Amino acid sequence: MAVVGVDLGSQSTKAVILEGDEIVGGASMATGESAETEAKMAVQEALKQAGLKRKDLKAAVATGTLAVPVTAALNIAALKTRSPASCVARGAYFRFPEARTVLYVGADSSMAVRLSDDGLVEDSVKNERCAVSSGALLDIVARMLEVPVEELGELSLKSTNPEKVSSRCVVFAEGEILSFIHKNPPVPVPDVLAGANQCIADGLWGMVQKVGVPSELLICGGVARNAGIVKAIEDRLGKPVLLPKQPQYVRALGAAVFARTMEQEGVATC
Amino acid sequence: MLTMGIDVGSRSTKCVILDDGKLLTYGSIETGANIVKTAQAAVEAAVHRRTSLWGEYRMKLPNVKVDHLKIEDMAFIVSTGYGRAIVPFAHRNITEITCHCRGAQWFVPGVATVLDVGGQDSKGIRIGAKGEVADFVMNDKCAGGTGRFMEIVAEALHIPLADIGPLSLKSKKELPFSSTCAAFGRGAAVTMSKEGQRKEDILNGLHEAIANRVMGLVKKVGIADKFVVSGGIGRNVALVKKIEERLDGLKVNLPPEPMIVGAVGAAMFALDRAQKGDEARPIETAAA
Repeated sequence: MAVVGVDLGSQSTKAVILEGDEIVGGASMATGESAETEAKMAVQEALKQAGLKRKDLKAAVATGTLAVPVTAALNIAALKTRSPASCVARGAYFRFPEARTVLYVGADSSMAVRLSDDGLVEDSVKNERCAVSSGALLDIVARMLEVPVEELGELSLKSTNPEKVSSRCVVFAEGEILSFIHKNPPVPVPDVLAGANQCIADGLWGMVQKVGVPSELLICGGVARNAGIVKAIEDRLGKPVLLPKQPQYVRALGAAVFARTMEQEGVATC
Repeated sequence: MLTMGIDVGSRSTKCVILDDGKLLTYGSIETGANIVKTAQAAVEAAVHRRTSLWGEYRMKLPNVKVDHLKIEDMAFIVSTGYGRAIVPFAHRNITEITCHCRGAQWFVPGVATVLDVGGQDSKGIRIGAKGEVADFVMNDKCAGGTGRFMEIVAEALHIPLADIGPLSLKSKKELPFSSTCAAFGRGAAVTMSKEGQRKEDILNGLHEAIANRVMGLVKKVGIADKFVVSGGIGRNVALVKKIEERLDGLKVNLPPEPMIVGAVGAAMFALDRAQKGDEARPIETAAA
């Protein structure tokens, strides 16, 4: 019995197909003009990977910033939406039941969630008002330094002397980082990146502390692919974090887990 | 006696020359990467009567020749603004809070509260009975309540910064701006535009958000009559209107050139020093 979870993020749209306990397909598309089209395409691509057809999908759950307007477009009868926080929790707990705190960092929002022993949301704080604890600064830095976003993390780990960014606002940090680049001689790229990572990690760590870390901390969301950010969080935590192999899919996976529950409980009728 | 005030702001640098406390000339220039050169260029702008950023002059200047004036002709020079410590020819530097307090009184005698919103910061100043700074608050941590936010959105909508105020006044719709963070401002504006919202309505929502933000700041020092608005937002008619709507019946006193308030204050402090006979010796600048 296959089900799908769709995560409509501000920058990319992800679909994960779950068959029993196995993830059989996962796809990600850049969110463009019409979130509906990307959602359909992501599901289509994930189905292709799984070798399945649309009619094989017995239930679907959508989540993320744009979830509500696209549900109709997916054209799957048994489709519901779930809150981003609960999907983050479900997705994390599915593979890492030891996680008690989850830090999700997306392109322009982030949240910290504390889980109960059963994987339910006990407490959560989210940030969608200020860009400083999100991937926004990474995008800006990548553009300024002309380094692909995917390479920022590894490059930042080469830093020996991180250049401190004192601004607590992405807009002002951009100006500050620009001055590092134009310094004579310029601040080495890894040191600029490590400085930006510290700035982001400070914002994120504040959220993590609000919900607390009773045991293990898991990091997910697209920004968790940046090894520099992960390290900066680990430095603050004082021990390694749990890091899924493809952290960007955790929220979509959580949605798929919800869809599976729906299907099993017979809420899904199609 | 000629005195000069030079206000090196994060986005623009203003230079004012007073003759015995009366306005002789002023000019402005965009702040560049090199503050020393910027400060010198601002002096050039003042003596050649150029306001490169804002178009036409809004204050009548005496019809006398000023383009021969040099830095050496000044009895005293005071610098202010975020780059004040790097102006090599200044004889003293004074914080922008103090200078705005003084400048606001030059424009509006009896002023009690000043709201100054510039390119990258916003501040509220409460002025005491003797004209002293009684209290102040400052936001330079978040771009949300500053001119930068307006700049970003204007750019995203392809509208010149000078036009966003008048355009916004045409709005007949209440449309909340979906972001309070300037970094998300571009995306929010583009999204709303794609959703078919009119530019004037998007701007109206933006001004609403910024007005709430800056009023929240200035309320911390207490609002009293007379209320002066200074800085770049003073040139945004829509925002000034929204601020006035939030003043419980008080009026906004708007200096004709709201952006030179700090520089005028600096030039007035320079006059005090010159009259006291302080030695006009350049400060040791951070750049030297």
